Amino acid sequence: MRTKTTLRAAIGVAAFLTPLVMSQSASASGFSTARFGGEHGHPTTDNPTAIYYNPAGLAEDTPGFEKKDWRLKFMVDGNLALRWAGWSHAKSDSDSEPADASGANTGQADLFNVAAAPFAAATFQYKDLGIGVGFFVPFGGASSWGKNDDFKDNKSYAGPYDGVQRWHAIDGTIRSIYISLGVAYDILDRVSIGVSGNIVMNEVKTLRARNSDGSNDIDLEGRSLIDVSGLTGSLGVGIIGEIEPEKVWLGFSYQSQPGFGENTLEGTLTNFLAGSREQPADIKFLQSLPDIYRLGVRARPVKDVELRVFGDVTNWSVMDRQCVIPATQDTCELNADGSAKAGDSTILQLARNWGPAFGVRIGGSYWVVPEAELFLGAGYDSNAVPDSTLEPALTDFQKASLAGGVRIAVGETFAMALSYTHIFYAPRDTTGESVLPKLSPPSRTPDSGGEYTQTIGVINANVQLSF
Amino acid sequence: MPIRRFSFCAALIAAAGLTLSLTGCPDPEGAFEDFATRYDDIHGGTGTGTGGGGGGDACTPAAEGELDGEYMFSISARLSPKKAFALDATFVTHDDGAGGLTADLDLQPLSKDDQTTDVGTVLSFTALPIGADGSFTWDFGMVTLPGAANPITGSDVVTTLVLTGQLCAGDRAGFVCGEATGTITEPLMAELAPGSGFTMQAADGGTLPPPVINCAMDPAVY
Repeated sequence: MRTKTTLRAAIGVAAFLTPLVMSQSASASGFSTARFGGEHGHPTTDNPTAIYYNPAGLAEDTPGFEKKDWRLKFMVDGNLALRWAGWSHAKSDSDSEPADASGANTGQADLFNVAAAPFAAATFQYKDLGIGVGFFVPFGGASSWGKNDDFKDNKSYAGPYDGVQRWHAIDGTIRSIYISLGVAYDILDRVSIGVSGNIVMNEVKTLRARNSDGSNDIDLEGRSLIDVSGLTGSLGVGIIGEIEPEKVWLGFSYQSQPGFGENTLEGTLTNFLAGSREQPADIKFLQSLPDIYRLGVRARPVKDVELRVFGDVTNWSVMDRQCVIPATQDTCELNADGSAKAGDSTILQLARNWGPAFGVRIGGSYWVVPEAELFLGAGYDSNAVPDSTLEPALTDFQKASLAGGVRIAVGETFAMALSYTHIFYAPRDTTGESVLPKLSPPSRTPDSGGEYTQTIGVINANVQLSF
Repeated sequence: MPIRRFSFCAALIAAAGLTLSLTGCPDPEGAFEDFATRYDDIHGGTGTGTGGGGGGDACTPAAEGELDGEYMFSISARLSPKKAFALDATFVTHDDGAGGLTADLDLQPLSKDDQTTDVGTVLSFTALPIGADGSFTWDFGMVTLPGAANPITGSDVVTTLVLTGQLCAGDRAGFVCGEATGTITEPLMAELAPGSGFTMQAADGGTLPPPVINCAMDPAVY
């Protein structure tokens, strides 16, 4: 018990150091946010980000570095994301909007958020053995939507000021914080294998407008505040083969689902419904996060040039729902129409029905001089969220990104990199496609159809020390 | 903790050299409190009401057996006051020997989908007191209403239930309404009051009328 408490405290400190995660969908699919390392974070890397992207890289030597029995590497990395997003919703058959509150549930909602995501890791190599520890946030989303000033100080309705999107999201964060320990071994001089174990702290804290019957009747409008967290574990494994010594590397890795299946987060639900504020109630929050396959190749065809191609398949199909149940209940078994089965007291089910997604990225580096590296990258990531369940709380799009940066090194000891990535999201129009209002309580939520837009800029900076 | 997070976020933004609205930092608790404040400013901190007294005419106390029969019994919760749980009620009165009556009440929950199909098991209550003036307070204790009868969330509801009203004959015969109070324990802890009510409408020739939600006999909307 003490060990668990200490662990929670340690991760709590880590969580405090991560007050914001990168804006959702900052790079990859779903709410994957693994962008630490920038263009140098990939499944054939030899820097400390290998602890997540491919633990086999913990035993890999850096090309051109002096061969010695041991080496110690430290890396600190940070992403700062600037996110602009919008959602425009037209009135649907299921929407409720009284004449004296036109625009309460329809119109435009916008957000502009700034968010940060840190990464820190240290690795130690001794001959063919490499070990590492790290801290990072590979999954996360945070949003704080703008207000609807048309309803500021409204004398009749307290709710609409929080924006048209408030039935899906007002303020919220979802994130998974990893503390990882990895070990790798260079078994055949040209083949490294690695494994990592992760302690994962999942957190969800979110506020949305809510009515008991799942409608958006603003006469009844209330709020539901969910604050839950849970500890679990996961594993990563990987292999890197040096196809041509110090010239071509091929890597493959696998990161398991956190908890190897459905995660149970525990915490409280505080309702303010129909004018009455209830005491926080103990609840469980059920969700499943994906496993990820990564494949990459890195080549140095000539001395001053490196080329990289890598990609991932992320199994977001496990994100079929998020379920809020009483603390006394263990499962969320609902009928196909979203209604509760006899004896089931599920409070809320958020239908997701996400699908698998993939990403692919190409990039390259050119060393102007041995101390100065210029690098570029471009990528594409597919969309995991279907039109039918897309909502402002958790969005996804088809997206393309372009990145450019510079890395400055002082010998083998010190290096720092700075890069900028811009992510272009293909707008989506899901008007008339939302199934959420057609479900029965406790799965019914207001119509989330509409026009979605988003663009994100990510500044990445990191420092690496090597001894 | 929200203050510390807010400060860190603000520092981040400042460090980025940006002149931004601080709304860019998620603060769910703060937004929750802001809503509560706005609500109280508008509504004075009171809930909305749907229950009520039961009519303005003088109450003519009923005699034993005078009001016996089948009723559409509905409970409207403030959480969604336009909807109502519908139950098929069988009501039988007895002389209590002290000028008042006692009543036996069987309540058969009806489907949330059609308000006519029986679902779940019958709830039976006996010797419910009715004062000489027709007033009553019935404490049903803990009751379970099946999810199939729950038009609001579709989940089973476990709650204590106390009904307060007045049973009258004469011009007011055939319709009873009043307040419902209690504490819901499943699926979540919540108070029924203020603003929850019940109604009883006598069946017409063996046909139950559609449920209503308040003493004004506004129809329930499903």
